Amino acid sequence: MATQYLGTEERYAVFPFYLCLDVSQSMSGEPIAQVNAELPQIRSSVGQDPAVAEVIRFGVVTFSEGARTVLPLVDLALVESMPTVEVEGRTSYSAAFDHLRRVIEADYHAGRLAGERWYRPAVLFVSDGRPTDPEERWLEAHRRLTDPAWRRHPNILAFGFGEAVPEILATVAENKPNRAYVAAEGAAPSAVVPELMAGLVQSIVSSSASAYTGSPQLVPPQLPNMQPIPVDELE
Amino acid sequence: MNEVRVSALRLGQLVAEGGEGRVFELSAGPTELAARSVYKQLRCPRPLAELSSLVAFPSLLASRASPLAARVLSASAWPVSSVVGDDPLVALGTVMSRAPAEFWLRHRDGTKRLSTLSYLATDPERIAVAYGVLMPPPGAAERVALVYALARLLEAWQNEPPLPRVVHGDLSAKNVLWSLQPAPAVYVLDCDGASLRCGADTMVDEVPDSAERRPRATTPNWDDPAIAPGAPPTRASDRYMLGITFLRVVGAAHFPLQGPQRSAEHVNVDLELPRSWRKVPDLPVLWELCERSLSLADVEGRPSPGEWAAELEHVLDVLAAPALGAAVREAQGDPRPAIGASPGVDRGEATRLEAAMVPAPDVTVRPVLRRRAPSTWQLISGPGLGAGLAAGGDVLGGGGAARAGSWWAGRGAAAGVPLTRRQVMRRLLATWGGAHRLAVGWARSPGRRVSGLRRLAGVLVLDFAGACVVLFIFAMLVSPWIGL
Repeated sequence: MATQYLGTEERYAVFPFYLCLDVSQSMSGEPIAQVNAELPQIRSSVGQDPAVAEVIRFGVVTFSEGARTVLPLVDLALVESMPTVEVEGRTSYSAAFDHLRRVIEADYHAGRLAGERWYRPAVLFVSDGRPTDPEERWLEAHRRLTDPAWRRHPNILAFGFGEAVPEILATVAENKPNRAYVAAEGAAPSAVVPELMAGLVQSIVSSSASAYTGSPQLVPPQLPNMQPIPVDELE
Repeated sequence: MNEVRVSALRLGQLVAEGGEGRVFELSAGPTELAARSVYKQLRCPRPLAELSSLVAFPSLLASRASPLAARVLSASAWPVSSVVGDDPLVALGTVMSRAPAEFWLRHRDGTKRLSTLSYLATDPERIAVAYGVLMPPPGAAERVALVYALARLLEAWQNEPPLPRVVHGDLSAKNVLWSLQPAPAVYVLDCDGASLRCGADTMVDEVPDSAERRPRATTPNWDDPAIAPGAPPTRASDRYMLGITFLRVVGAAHFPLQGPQRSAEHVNVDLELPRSWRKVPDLPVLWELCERSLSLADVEGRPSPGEWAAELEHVLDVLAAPALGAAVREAQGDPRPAIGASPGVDRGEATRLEAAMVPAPDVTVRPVLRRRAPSTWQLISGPGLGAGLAAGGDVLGGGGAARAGSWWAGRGAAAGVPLTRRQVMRRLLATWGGAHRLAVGWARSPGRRVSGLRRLAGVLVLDFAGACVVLFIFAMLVSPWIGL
């Protein structure tokens, strides 16, 4: 019978979530306003609950022609206010995927230096349109992000509405079952975005509960036909 | 009023939503309770008989032991009415007491949240930085008093036959609220999901009928690993949750036990306690209670809440905080001490004898004193300190270290200069004194007592041998003078 030693310093591994938001022109108006209205809800639901905040790390990446980090991966309990996002130009998926790979790699090493253990990160990819960069380019960037040989490759959940193309979202979610979701055609962004953000909060909170068990799962929002995804701890 | 028609309720704001149902405020209702009650609408309606028996439990308890009923009503959101719709045999929900105002915390940004155990089961510094809420330090008597309050509630639930016994099944961080003002108190939520058990007083196989075989949604990380997924909880699982609550609340840390336990691993828990506990006598019964509560080796032998309450009263006494225990009892409306706690009885001996008959626990709990944090500040204007700094004293090493360094080196010591005989003697003396202090410190530290005593014995043997040598030399020197 093996023996485990547990002390006060024993911490649970953290579960990193990256919200990757499309801020291209097509998001202007109501969709982006809804996103900005809902982002503080993530902070209050995740950051204000000590049990959830302790195991969740959350970052926000936006992309249009380029990609940038608007909220570095943080413990939401320590965040005073959430950033607002603004509409920019075109929709470059390749910029998003390349940026995510760089950010995940850097955050992982920074976390290790701080003594954190990581579960496999999750990317919540939200887009309302189709990529404007050449297909082979974003597919190549996507391949680099999801390359199984890269130990930190994330699990991706993809959500689309508006002009988003289901087949493209399925590709973003690696064509794996139950990982891509598209809103019904013609659904108003004013209804879709709050539902989606509430679903993401619920997904993060449920995933945090599973992180405590030592058998973490990336729990998708409670949407039809979506199932929990087992997550492994990174070495 | 045990049953209320749903049409008679006027629902207010949605307060909370969970897996089992939604909780609404009552803006007005048929009873005067509306102002301090909430309505829980069940996601899956249940047979009315199940809820009615829960609603009637405090009255039944009051008829036999009214102080115990007071504990139940003061420390839990117990269902006060079943709510029915068109079908009079099906309960759609329940009306229950609202958490009193003292069980809410206000964060720095003004947010009000229920004071769940999550705040206590984590590093107090993190809670202070993140939310601006100050928690008692790990190992504080207030933390012990909160676990004591929970043990007393469970004592009222886990009655002896013929009274029915309550199995809550999900005593987790989110379901147990706490407050230190005006007195240490807990308030347990989600009691409508509890079940009543009657019949033989066994720990595990006491589920009376199929209605009570309903599985309970449990909280990951607070559940009993002895219960298979989907199986109904037992009285023993509530006892496990009491044990893990003690560990996490007093230690202000998570101690992720369940994973290793499910893998059949032996778990050693180092419970860090503040240095003030060095003055506390060792508490073998307490650590044994922890181990037996958490053990999977003997689920039936998990200690009763009464044993916990009695021992925690003892702990509060030795922590010089008996007033906290009295305040808990007063707040629960039952000033009696733990049932069955008889003064003068060596409970430790009784427990040890009992433990000899059962398998050894698969969990070991060892209290260790928290390491002293290095001090950021040191005294810079003290006699003799200038020499220490001149000799390369480490400014960030702490005042104690700087002072000890100068004493150790001796006056006038400098790097690279051979030591004088006086300085060598000083170092030998310091080593001798340090060995004694270390041994005595360990011997007084709960958890290291045995190794401390062993070390002290070794030091004393060396002392004795040294004294013999000195005496022999002295005798050799003086013998010619006295004509021997």
